[in-house]
Amino acid sequence: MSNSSIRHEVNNDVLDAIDYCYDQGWTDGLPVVPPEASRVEAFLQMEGRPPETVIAHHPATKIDLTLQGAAVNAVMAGCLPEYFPVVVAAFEAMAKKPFNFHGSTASTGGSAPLLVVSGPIIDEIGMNAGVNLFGPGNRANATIGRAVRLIILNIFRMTPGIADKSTQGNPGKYSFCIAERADKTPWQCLNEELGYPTEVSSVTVFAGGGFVNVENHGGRSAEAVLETIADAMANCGCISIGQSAVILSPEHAEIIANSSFSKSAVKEFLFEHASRSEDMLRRLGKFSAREYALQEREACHRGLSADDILLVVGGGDAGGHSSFIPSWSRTRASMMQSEAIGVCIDC
Amino acid sequence: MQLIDPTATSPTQHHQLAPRLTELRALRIGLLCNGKANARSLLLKTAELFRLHDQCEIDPDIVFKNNASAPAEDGVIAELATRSDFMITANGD
Repeated sequence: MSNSSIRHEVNNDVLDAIDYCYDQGWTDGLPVVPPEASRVEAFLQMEGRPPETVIAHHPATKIDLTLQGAAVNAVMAGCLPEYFPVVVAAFEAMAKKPFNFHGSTASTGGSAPLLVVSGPIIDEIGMNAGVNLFGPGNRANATIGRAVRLIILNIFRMTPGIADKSTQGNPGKYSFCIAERADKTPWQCLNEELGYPTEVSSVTVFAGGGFVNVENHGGRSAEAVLETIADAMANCGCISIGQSAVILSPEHAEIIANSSFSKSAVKEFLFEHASRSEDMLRRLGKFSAREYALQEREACHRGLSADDILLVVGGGDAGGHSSFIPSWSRTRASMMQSEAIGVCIDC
Repeated sequence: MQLIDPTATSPTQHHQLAPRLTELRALRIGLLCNGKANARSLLLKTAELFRLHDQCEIDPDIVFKNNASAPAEDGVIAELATRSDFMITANGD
């Protein structure tokens, strides 16, 4: 049950209010914007639905996330009201059962929900799809991702060391939100690939592990670049039958597209080449007969098929640096989910 | 300045323990495994203790959950209950 009916009177000094938020245990370790009532109201007006509308439910704590609870935490994260529909859509996606909201927020694996935003909202709210994609500097990317974490902490009570048992955590647990770079995408953008009209934006949530940089400045063919990425995807520290997120840098995307690879061909190539031998995985204690039997293949591949790879383009113009993010789940315990932003497709 | 509380309280959940067994001797044990790599070993070793100390019979048909971090699929527990007197479940990371 949301405690948003509870009001806390503090004096009018903003620094005192920030300290008050620390004292209450409401932060992620960084200072928050004090959740003053009028700011919260502006977020709810942006959404339009009643504040008590439930948008997500935590299966273990049985706590519901209401729009009001989400708005309070989005204010604290530093969001602007126009960012709020992205936060809401992200939780509506995470609330879908296959995402496994409880496991991905509690596990020793240290998962962080990666948000990949696609469509016109990126420019409308000023998200960064370019240089320093995963890094600091853009308010929308940083605060939307941070709002997700504050909601997980404050609403769902996934407190580190108590309900969140991450062994080492993940820097993405502060904020993990990127935008797709449409102008450098040689194929269909993600929102269209998901079946949404071009004008409808989407957010895809993926319970991700740590960020893996994939560097290749010498490869001049699609095969050279993709083999490098596939090798990272199959590294013995994270190979599993779980899903993958691959973010191609514009340079790599151009090389690949110049070789006439379609998007589906890229995924097929990555799936076929992201593999290790059964012998190797057995030697390392990482072979699971029950899981790899699902692939019906000789070698052990990452994922179960090419469809398990989320492929988008993002980052700055210069640099042969793409990235791979493995799934938190070593099995099929969490599947990425998507949701339209700010519109109800089924209504 | 008036701040809105950003937290939530977990609703009260009324969980009841299953009735306690008064006697373990010669009962049949069902095994529910979360599917992780070491869970099967832990389950079998635990069940073996009951076999040695209480002459329990171990149901050889271990049930594996498809998802270690989610509840057992619908009907799995009920089905296991029909062929065992008590059940052991294990997490093994």
